[in-house]
Amino acid sequence: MSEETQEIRLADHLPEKHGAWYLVTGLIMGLILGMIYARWVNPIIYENTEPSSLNETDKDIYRSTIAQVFAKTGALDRALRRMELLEDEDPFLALGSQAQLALAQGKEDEARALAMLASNLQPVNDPSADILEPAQTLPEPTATLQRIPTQTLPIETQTP
Amino acid sequence: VIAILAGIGFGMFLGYEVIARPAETNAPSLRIDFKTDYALMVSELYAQEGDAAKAIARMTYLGESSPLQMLQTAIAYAQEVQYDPDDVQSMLNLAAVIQVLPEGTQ
Repeated sequence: MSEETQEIRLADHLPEKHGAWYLVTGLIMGLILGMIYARWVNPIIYENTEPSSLNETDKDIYRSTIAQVFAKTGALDRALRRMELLEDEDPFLALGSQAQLALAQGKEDEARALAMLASNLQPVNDPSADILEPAQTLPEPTATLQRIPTQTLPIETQTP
Repeated sequence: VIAILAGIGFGMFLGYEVIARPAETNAPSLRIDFKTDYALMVSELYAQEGDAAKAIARMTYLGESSPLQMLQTAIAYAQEVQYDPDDVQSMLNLAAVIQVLPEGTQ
């Protein structure tokens, strides 16, 4: 094989490799341009959305408002219908954890309202009852003394 | 050149449609019926608490430049779809209170 033919073969392979790099460069440039366009030039603005699509912060505010209205008015049906709009996977858990968070932040009224609504959502006879103040519930005895049956030997009676 | 253009085209599609598109929305984008229901909740709370400043702060959640304007829009919608008269009255009461507040606080 002469040197000339080797050079020709190398020249055949080069454009393919460059083509791939051009594509990757274009892709990266396109991604950057696309994001710039979407963020600053023509940002995506949502309209006419539903509460279920809200971000977590706004959902929390919406949920808290529902709970506070329920706490003040006692209108459970209305509160339940409003809670359905949020489409929480587990509304009881969502309210409970938000109540905990509100309590930790010192928002006692809000926490109480959230817990009150949660307890109304709770299925009857659910043993996991305390949402708000788990620390204040009576502690389970950690070490209880086990009664170990002692073996008592039968008293031998002497038979004549 | 074609490869670069194809890359830019695909990249822009990815960047605009997939990466930059927010998965979640915020309260100001809510549909008018949900905004109206929220305004009703604020009015119900005001009726119990009597705290206009708190009610205005709550109305700002909907992101409108003026809470009063938002409330009036909500009232108009509530009347249009025939909300319960008591609910409409509750919103009207709040609007009346906000209206008499000094300019800038509304």
